[in-house]
Amino acid sequence: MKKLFTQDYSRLEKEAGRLLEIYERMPDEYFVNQKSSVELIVRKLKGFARVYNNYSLNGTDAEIIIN
Amino acid sequence: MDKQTMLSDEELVKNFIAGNVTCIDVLIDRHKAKVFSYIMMCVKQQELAEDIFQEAFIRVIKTLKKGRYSDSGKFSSWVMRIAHNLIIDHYRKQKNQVMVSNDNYEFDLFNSARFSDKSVEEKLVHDQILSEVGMLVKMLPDNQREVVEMRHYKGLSFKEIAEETNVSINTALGRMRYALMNLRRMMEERNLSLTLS
Repeated sequence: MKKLFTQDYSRLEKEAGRLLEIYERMPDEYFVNQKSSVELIVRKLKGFARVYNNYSLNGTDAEIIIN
Repeated sequence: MDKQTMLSDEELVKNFIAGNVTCIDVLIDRHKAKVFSYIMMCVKQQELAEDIFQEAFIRVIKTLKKGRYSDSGKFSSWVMRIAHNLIIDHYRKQKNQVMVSNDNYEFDLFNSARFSDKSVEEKLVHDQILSEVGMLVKMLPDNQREVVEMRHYKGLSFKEIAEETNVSINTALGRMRYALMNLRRMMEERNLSLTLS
C-alpha cells in the first residue's frame, strides 16, 4: 500500500530543537516588555491560576476548580 | 506588584507555591513574549501557537501547584522545554493523521511537486531569500522597519502595532505600504528575485 506524507515531521522536530537552542541562548531580558498578541490568553491563564487547586485523596491526585 | 517585579524568577516561583497567587502574573508577563515567539517560529500558525502557549502555561501552573517543580535550572528554560515538548507532541499527532493512501486512483491529486517537501536546493534558495529579505528590511527607515518586524516577525495586528507605536492604524498601514514599496524598489535596484522559480 502506498502512503504519502505531506510534511517531513522529522525535519520539523529537528528545526524546533534548533530554534529552542537559539532561544535558550537569547537573554530573557530581550523579550521583557515586548508586545505580544496573547493578552486574552494571558488574562485567562491568570484567572486559571487563581481558581485551580489540587489535593491528594487516598494517595491519588485530584484537581478542583474553585470559582 | 512593583515589589514583585523586582523579584527573581526563583523567588516568584517560591512565593507562588507558598500561596501568593499574584506572583504567577509577573512570571507569565515576564516570559510570555519569549515563549510565544518561540512557538510561533516553530508552528507558524497563530491559532495553533495560541493553543500550545495556553497549554504550556496551564502545565506550568498545575506543576507548580502540585509542588512538583524542581528548582534545578532556569525557570524560563523549563517553560520553554514544556512548550517544545508540546510542539513535538503536535507534530507526532499530525504525522500519524496525515497519511494519504492512493491505492485506487491512477491520478493522485496530492502527488505533485507543489505538495512535496522542499529539495536541498530549494531549501538553500529559500534560506537565501529569507536572508536577503532580512537584509533589505534592516535598510528600511526605522518607522517602516518597525512595522514590518512587528507584523511579520511578531505577528501583531495593525491595531496592536498602532497602539505599540503610538500612531493611528492608518499611519501604521501607510508605513507598511511605504515599506513594501521601498523593499520592491531596493529589490529592483539590486536585481534581486525573491520568488522560487
